[in-house]
Amino acid sequence: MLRGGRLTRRLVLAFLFVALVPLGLLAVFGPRIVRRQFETLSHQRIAGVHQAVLHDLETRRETARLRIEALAASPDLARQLQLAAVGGAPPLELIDATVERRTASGIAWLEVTDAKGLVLARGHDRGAFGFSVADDPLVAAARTGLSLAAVVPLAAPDSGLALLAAAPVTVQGTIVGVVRGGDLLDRSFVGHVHTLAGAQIAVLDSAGRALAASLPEGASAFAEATAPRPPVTDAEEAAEEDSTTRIVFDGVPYRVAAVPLPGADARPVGRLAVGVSEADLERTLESLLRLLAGATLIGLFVAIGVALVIAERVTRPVRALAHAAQRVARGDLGVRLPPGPNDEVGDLMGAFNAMTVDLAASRERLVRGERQSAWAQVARRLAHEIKNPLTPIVLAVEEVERAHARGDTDLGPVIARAARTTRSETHVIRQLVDEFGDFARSPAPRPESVDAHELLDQAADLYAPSTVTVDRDYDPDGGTITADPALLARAFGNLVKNACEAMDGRGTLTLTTRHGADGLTVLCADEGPGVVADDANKIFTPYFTTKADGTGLGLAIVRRIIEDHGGTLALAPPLPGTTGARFVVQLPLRPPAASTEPATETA
Amino acid sequence: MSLTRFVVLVGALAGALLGARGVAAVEGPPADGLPVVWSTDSLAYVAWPERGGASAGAFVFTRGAGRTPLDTLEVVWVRDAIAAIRPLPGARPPARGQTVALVGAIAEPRDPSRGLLRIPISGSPDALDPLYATTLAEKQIVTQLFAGLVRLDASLAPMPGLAARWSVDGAGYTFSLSDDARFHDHRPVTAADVRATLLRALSPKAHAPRVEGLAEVILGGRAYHSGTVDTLEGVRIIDPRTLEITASSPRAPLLGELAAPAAMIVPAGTPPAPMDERTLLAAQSGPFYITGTTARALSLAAAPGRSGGPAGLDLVRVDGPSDAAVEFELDRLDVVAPPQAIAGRLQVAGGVRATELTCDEIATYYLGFDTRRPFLADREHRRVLAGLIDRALAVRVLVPGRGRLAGGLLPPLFGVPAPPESAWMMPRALAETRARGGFGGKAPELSLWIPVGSEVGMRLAEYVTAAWRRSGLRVTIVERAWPEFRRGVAAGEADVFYWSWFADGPDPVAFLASMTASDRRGDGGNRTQYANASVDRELAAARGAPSDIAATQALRRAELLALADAPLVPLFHPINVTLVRPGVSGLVLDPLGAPRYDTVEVR
Repeated sequence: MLRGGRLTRRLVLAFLFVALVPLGLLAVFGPRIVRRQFETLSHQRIAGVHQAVLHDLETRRETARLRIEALAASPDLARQLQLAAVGGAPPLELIDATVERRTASGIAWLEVTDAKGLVLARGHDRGAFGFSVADDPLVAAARTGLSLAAVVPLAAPDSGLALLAAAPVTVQGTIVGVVRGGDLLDRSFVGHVHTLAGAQIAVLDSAGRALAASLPEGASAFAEATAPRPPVTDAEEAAEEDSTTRIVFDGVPYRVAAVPLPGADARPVGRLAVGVSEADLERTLESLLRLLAGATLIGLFVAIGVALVIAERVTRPVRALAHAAQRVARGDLGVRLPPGPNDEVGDLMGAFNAMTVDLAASRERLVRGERQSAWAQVARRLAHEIKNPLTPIVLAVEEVERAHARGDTDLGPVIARAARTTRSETHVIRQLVDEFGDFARSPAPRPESVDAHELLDQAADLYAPSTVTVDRDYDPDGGTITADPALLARAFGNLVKNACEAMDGRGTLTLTTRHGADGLTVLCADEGPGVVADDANKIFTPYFTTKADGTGLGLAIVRRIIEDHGGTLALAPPLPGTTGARFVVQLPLRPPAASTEPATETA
Repeated sequence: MSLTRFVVLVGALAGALLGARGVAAVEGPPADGLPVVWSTDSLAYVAWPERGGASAGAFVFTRGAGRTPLDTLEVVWVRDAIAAIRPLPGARPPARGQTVALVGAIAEPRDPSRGLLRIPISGSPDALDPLYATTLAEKQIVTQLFAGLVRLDASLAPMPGLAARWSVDGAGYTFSLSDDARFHDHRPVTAADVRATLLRALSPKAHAPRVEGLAEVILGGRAYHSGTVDTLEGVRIIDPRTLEITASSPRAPLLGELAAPAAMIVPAGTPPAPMDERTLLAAQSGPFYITGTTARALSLAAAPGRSGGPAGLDLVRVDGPSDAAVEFELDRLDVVAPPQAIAGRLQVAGGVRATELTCDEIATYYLGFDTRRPFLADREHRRVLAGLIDRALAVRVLVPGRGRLAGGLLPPLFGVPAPPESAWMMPRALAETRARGGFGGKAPELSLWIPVGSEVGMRLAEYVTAAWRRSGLRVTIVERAWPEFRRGVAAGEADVFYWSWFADGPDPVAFLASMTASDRRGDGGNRTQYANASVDRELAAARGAPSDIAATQALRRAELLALADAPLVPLFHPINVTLVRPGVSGLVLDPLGAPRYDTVEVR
């Protein structure tokens, strides 16, 4: 539909360009803006989780301190510690009671030491007693009467980090032992925080080793992401520094931040790595970007559609004008444009219609004149041609009349001569009329399998006088093609006859054929004077002749027949050193199927 | 033979005995059995008149070759001199001409007026054949069912058993059997039975686990036991009631070995293999016989003709001291050895004060290392592991009032001074240094096995594992029911295990050899599979020493060598503290752990 519609294409491209500018801006900047918003949201979330974890740790620290202080205030425990002091070893009752106290108070890790820091019982490990923990900073503080709580690394056989508190057990102001206990920062803790904050969490020791993690496989990735960074010296950089890290583990993106775990002396003994999955944000972001891309694409398609519609509307009358102009150029002056839009184009279409009307009128007049002129020429020609044989007829009749007037008695020879002359010239006139009629009829070929060599031989036999030598150079593969034998015989006859006449009946006529994949080539060469260069373009024109008695239709008829068979007839240049004419006939092996349909146009 | 197998046969007998029907007493079983005079498809008829003790409901059994019991039958009716007997389900009536023996003792029901004593039994006794009894529970049971020529009193002094008296001439001991020494089928115990018992026990075909001591003390016992000679040189029958046994040396503890379970008398003809249940029923000669078994208890009744003592004995299965305490509190037991923590409360349970009996037992509780395990085959590894244990603290804290710290392997009642700990135990600081980091990460994860229900064992295991873990070792406590525990230790599945060894007699050489001699590996008592030729030589020297002093010196050298190799870590010697319900009197605790209950009066 757009074929040849360069104006349409230009219009569509122009419209698209106009539409693509905003769409491009949307496509380029839209995702960036949305992504930035989501990053802000992710940072807000990790900051919230960070705060929640800090708050949870602080709550645990305070809870542990209160619980341990409450246990340390137990009179039973004080009594058992006094018994241990007297016996020099923990009574079994203290060990069992410590186990029960741990269970009852819900404390994960509980230890009772004597006043010197010697472990007497552990509630979480009934078999652990008889060794010193006096060096532990919490126990050391408690032995001086201070209650403290902090995150501490546990010594073997325990391992990991624990949030412990320690408090002294006193009897009448004398410290008789220490209670130390609290929660382990273990899988249970991790699970709790994971549930509470909805974040992945890993407990890491001071060396970055994962002690517990809600996502055990990803613990090392979390540790790496929260590894301490070299301090930033530049104040501006420090202000802009992002304390979070984005990692992708197992295909899931996480925003990870570190929560330091200060020990009893405020120096960090480990850290928590908390990570918030950005998978939901990513999904939302991807959905939005897909939506954006979809909207852009739809916009693009809509723009193309609108451009096409507008261009169609704009160019349709123009194309109609162009098409009509082409028809006019081909001579179809009857073309009329439908009423156009009420604009300049409509005016143009109106003017075109008026122009074609004028042109048609002008051409009608011209054609009429030309037809009259042609008919006059033909009539003149015909009259001239007929007049020639009429003259002998008139002379013969006049001779009969004169003999009769003279009173010749023997009129027989005169009448016989006059009759012969009349018959002969009448025959010429009939032939003249038949040739005109043949040219006008130009019957459609009725193809069948024919041997062109036979037809050439027939033509040579019929039209070549004995004084002309016929030299045959036929293709040994034969000359069989599909063609109308009568028409082709006539064409070859005309060619042979034309050549023989050109040689005045003397010389050599060369007939050459070559069979190829694309058809049969026939060369008819004579030794006549040839065709002068000025006539080379006219010799196939009807009624053109260089002969005194020629009708000018011979070669025109030959070309018509050859072309009707899908072939060509051409005048080849003379061979070097010769002047004879060389006509080349190119015939396809099979003529094209005759179409009964009138030629149609597309627009 | 497992207890469950008794259900088939003994359960039926017990049902009849304890049922309302009752069974008539039998006045002496026919020595050669009762001939079957007629037999049908379902019944057999024997010449057993009512005045001869036959009554409906009594039981008899058929005898095969070698007097082996085959099938049990029930008396259906008695008319005049004929009794009709019917086989129990699954058995066939005896054929005519076959003899039928009485199951003598079962004809006597328990006398309610003499009371029923209920005793706890820990563990799952498997072997009731005295020759194959290896555990304390098995020893406790077979002591009630069988009797030896002599027995040991609470001071380990030899007392008359089936032998009424004996005389000593150098190494020669002449035993006169008691007139009332009878098997439970009323057949008198003869000198031939005694000789046959000793031959069976020492037969190489018997593969008896605990007869090395017996073989040592009887002249020619070792040669016969090793299969190099066919006769037992040191045993000679003087007459059916008199027997001479020659000891291997004048100092050989012959009487102590004859009091051990392996030397308890069984009828002549008993094959040198674990007795089946029917053989066992006829072979009993002790103060009680089995009347039935249930999932919860093994029921015994007083042997026929025995006056005094309880009419019956229920040996109630318990899972450790706490379980026994519960049973005691529920009045399902008359005797209990409760854990120290609840002893005081239990003693006054129900408002009635139980009598407390105390006895230092000749036993050693220890931690054994399976020396077949690659890591523990290394003496140094065992010494380090032993050195990490503060035995004194552990025993003082965890076995208060129930055990004395083991100075060595031999209990103090043997009178052999224990070597100083510094002579064999690696200093703890050195052990901690060498074990640091789990032997530098080379130590495999160890398993410490304890039997289910052993509360002291669990506490000690917890302490030991805590101590080892502090040095970076990985160790797991494995708690198994007794049969699996015993099998696992024997099969070498346990790296470390908690075990005890109770003396079978007053011989310290036998005691030490049982735990350390290479020829006692396995069920012989050497559970650690330890082997040291030097120890074996010193033990042999102790046995063959010309004087007590020389024997003691050799014994001390052997003990020190073994302790220094640390195949086992002696922990404590138990103190049996038993509560006896009011109404029960006459119970005397046995330092060997297997008291006889035939002297107990139950009101």
